[in-house]
Amino acid sequence: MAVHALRQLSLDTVIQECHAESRQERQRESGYCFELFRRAMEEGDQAAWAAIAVQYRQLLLNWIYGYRAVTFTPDEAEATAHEALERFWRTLSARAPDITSHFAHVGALLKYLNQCVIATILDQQRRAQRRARLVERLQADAIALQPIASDTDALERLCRAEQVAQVRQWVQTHVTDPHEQLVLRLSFEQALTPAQIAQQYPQQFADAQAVRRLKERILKRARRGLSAIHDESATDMAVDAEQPR
Amino acid sequence: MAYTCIAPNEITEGDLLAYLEGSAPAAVVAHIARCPACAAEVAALRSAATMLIAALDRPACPDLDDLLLYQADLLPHAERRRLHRHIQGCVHCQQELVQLAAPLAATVSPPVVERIAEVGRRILTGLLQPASPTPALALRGHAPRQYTYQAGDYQLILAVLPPLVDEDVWQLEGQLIGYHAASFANDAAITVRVQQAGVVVVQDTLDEFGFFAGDQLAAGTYTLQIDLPDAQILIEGLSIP
Repeated sequence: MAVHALRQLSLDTVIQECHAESRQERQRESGYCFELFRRAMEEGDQAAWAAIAVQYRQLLLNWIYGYRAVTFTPDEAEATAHEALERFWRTLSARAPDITSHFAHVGALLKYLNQCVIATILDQQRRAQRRARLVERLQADAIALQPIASDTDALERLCRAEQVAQVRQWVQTHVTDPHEQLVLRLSFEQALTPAQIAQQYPQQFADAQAVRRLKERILKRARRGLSAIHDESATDMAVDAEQPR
Repeated sequence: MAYTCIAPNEITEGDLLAYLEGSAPAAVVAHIARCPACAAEVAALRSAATMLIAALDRPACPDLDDLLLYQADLLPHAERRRLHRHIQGCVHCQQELVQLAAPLAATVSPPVVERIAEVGRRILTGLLQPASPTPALALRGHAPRQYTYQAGDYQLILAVLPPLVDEDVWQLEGQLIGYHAASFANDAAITVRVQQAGVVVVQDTLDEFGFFAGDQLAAGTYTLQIDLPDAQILIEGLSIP
C-alpha cells in the first residue's frame, strides 16, 4: 500500500492489519507494521506504542528465552522485554527519531529491536559482573567494609547503570589533579593498597600515609558531591556495619 | 544530628582511611571508638569508597546504548570514531559487539515449567491409548500412522503422513477433541508447537474445530505442546514416523 494511503488509515486499522501482516511471510508485507512504528516514533503516538508492546511482546519473550547463556524466570523475562522496548525508544528518539530515513522496512526495525534485547541482557551481565567484583573487593578489603558485601539491595543499587554513570561523571569533573587521578585509578580500578602505591610510585608519593591523605580527600569530596546517592547507600549500609575493634 | 570531633588534635588526615583499612594505630582506633563524629565520618568514607569501586569497573567503556548505536551505525561520525578507537583496544567491548551482531533466534520456547507457573495452568500429559488392530501390511513402508492420546478431558488424535515425494520429511495432522473455541471467552489463538530439544520446529494454531497441521518434520522424537487458556497439553516422546 502506498505510504500516503497508509498514513490516512485509523490507528485501529493499522494495528489490526499489522497483526495480520505479522502472521504472513515477509515477502507479503505491505507496510502496516512499519507504519505502526512510524506513528510511535515520529508522531509520538502513545497508543501506537502500547500496540507495539502488545504486538511484539511474545516475540521479545521468545528472543529472551532463546538467549542460551542465561535462564530467565517469567518475571525476569518480562522485565527484560520491557527494558528492551524502553532502550529501543530511548536510543532511537535520541539518535534516529525519523525512522523512515534510517530503516527501510519493519524487518530492519525488528533486527534493531532484537539487538536492543541483546544489549539489555549484556547490560544485566555487566551489572552482575560489577556486583561480583564489588563483593570480591569488599570481602578482600578491610574488615570494616565486609558488612556491606552482604547487603544485596545496596549493592544492586550501587551497580545500576544510571548510578554508575552519575559517579563517573562526578569523577571526570571533580578529580582533575594528576596525583589524585593516579590514586583513584590505582586504588579503585586496580585495587592497590596505599602501601603498594607508595612503593610503586616513590617519585609521586613519599609514603603510604601520603597516598591515604589524597585518597581520603577524594572520598570526602565524593561524599559531598554525590550526597544523594551516598545518603541512600549510607543509610542501608550503616544499619549493620560494624566498626573494627 | 551533626557531631563535632571530640579531640581534633588526635586525628590527622589519612587516619580515618587507615582505620578503614584496618591499619590504624591503636590511638586512632581508641579515638574513633569514643568520637561519634569520626565514627560517622568513617561510615561515610566507607560508603563513598564502595560507590567508587562499583563505578570504576571498566570506566572507559561506553555504555550499552552507545555500543548498540555503534553496531547499528546510528552514531555521528566523530562519536563513532571515538568509540572505534576504544573498541580496538578493549577486549570486553569487542566481545559484546560480537554478541550484538549475532541475532537471537526466536525459535526456542520458554521452559515449560516457567510458562505454567506464569499463568497457573494445569499441565495435562497425554497418555497414548492402545491402537486398534491394524493390518500388518499397512505398517510397512510409508503408510499413515494414527495415534490417540488422552489428556485430562481432552482427546488428541494425531496422524503422521508419509512424504509425498522421496524425502525423509513427514506431515503431522491432528485434532483436539473436547476443545470448543466458543467455550473460551478469550478469543486468542490456541498455539500448537512441535519441539525437538527445546527448539520449536513446527507451530500452528487450532482452527475452530480443533484441527491443526504441520509439515517438513524430519524423522525423530518430538514433544507436542498445546497451550490452552486453562491448561497445557504435553505429548512427549512423539516418534516420527
